[in-house]
Amino acid sequence: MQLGSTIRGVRYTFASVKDVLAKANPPKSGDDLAGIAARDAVERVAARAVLADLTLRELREHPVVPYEQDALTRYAEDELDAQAFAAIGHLTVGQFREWLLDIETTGPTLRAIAPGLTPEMAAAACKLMSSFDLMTVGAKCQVVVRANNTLGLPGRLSSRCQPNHPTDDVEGILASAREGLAYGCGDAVIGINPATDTAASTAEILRVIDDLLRRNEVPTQHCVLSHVTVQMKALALGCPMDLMFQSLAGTEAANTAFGISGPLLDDAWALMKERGTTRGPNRMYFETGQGSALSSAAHHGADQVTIEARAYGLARRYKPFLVNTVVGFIGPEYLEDGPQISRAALEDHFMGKLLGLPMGCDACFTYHARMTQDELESLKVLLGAAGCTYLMSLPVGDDIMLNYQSTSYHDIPTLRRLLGKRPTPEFDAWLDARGIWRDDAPGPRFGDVAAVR
Amino acid sequence: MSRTRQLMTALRAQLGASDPQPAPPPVPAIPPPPARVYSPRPERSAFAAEAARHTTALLGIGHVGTRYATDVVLQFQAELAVAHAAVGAELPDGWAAANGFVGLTTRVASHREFLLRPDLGRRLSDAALAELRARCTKGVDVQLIVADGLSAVACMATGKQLHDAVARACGARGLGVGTPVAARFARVWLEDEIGQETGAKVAMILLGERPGLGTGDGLSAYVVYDPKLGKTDGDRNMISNIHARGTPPDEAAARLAALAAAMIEQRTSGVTLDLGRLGEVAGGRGYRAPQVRQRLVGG
Repeated sequence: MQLGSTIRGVRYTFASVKDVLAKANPPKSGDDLAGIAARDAVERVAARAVLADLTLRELREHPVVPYEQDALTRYAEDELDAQAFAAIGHLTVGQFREWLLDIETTGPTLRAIAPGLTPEMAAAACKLMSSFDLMTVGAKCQVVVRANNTLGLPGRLSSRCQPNHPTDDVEGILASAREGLAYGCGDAVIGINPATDTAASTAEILRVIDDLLRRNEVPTQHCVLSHVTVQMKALALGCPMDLMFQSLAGTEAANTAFGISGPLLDDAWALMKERGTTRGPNRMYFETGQGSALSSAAHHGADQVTIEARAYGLARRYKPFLVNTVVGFIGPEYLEDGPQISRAALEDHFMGKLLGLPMGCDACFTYHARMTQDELESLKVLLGAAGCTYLMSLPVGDDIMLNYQSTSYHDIPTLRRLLGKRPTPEFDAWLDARGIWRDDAPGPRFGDVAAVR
Repeated sequence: MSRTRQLMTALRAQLGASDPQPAPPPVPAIPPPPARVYSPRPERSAFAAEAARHTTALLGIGHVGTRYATDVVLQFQAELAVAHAAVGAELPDGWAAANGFVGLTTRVASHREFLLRPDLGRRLSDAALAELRARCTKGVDVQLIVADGLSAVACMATGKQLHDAVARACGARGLGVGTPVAARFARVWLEDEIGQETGAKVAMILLGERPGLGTGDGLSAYVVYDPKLGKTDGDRNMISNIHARGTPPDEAAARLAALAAAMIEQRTSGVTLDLGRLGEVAGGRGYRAPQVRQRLVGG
């Protein structure tokens, strides 16, 4: 295995595959914070030149966290599909990139090889790709999932309706959810981050949203994003629960900091198969984001893109209905500004889709990151063009509990019209019946909350 | 004529040789659209009025096509500007001394570094450490620290007021308070080093919180028992959104003094602190009062 390259007569050598992967990353403040980034643009390209010549088999043999030290590495290795891996293991990362971009390589083929990829392979390809490369391959991937409705079909753009409230006032949550539905939002999920992380509160919010969806016969799913152990207790209280949520990170140690483990997620998934209230087969919802492992010093010296891919490796074990990166939420010490946040969003979407996940994105910024509203709106168009499965939606994009800026109730119909996209077929039919959206334009009751009782 | 020229000529003929677009329709009459105003008045939208009783989310704001009315755009931009101005502000040199604080600096050298290197904002500079050792009372019950955090605007607006209110509330409970200090480019965990150096039983940092849309003026207070380097978030209790339109400083001060007293009595803080014995006054491990949204543009 060759870990050196020469650029304009200067020899660059790297300590390990992990080092190559880190230094091949485009600039990220989080990699600087971790002290693992390339010194300059030339060393970055030198690392990419090394990476381009490594084979996928070599990446499999050198995971960024050793097999003995990390359950996520063991899942990726032990559960890898041998036949799918055999088809691609001989390719170098450079060849793999070209194969992904080839017109002959179609969505169904990508779906066939996904189980043969370790997260490190998806991350490696990502580092050799520009934004258009990431979008081109992301748009090819086809990941279709079903709970109460069918998400991820070609030509569709869905949204999570996120009617959060700083004190969980259910009347306030309901008012916001009704308005979101009246703007055609919420076909991925009505998902609430609770202010209070208790089983009783989770159950109360779920019951109120369940009543709303039944009363109006809305073909979608509900979810309250409390800790998975809290949701398991809420299920024991006998409340409805269409999707079960958990935040995931890319190392075992980082997930320990989140209070979760593989066996706990196995139990949660089993419980949802037994007690969850959708027809399925997909019943789980996960959120991720670059930098979370570093924030708990659990990154093992690996870069945040590769660690993020490993979170997707964990997610795919549970055949989730929803997975999204919360890309700008973590703050400028990990993703400094608009360009870094936008790049990370396209990377995460690409890696998630390539690994077989129905990838969405919370395109967002906190107010201490240097990203403008115009940059954020542009990013949503890039994601839509890349075939992103769903975005978030809130009143004016403003989360009044978590204090950050995301996608708005007005943005989703705007994007659908700009990009010629539709919501899920079941939801599309419901919007038509309610007069909210007709074909590709607002209907007579668009934005009219009286259309949703 | 070349083959290419022939193809182009034929194509042009097929498309119609003159203007590529038909003439536009006659100019219509364009009356002004109906007024669409942020925070719709009850007489215009019963839904918006009802929703406003339960949430500060901007609901019932209507739409033009699929986008916002101009009034909503201006309100949104004003709220965004307030948040960004709060993050971008810096505590002026001399602010600490002018307000009766010993001024402390961290290892952060610039505002950009402050945002990118939280680790440096958690530690005192060498000069500040010497200053602290020379000028501050040791072995107190509660060491208060006022700091900029992510909103120097909030610190300058309410920091002094909250500090004095907490000092009074602690005094009323018989707790001794340390020398007043104010830190620049500071993160929450800076209280660990300051508390360790002054040998305080409890350290409490009062600092500007990460602004939300339209709200750059909130302070948060983080309280930790037996402060020393190595404490984590689970060791702390906090109250956020402290300002006139959130939790007023006097009310927050009463809660914070009660927390400090409970920590000294129970000899612990954070997840292991029994809040049940505190009753209503502490308001949970993290307490946040609801907040009223203000109209920023126009009257």
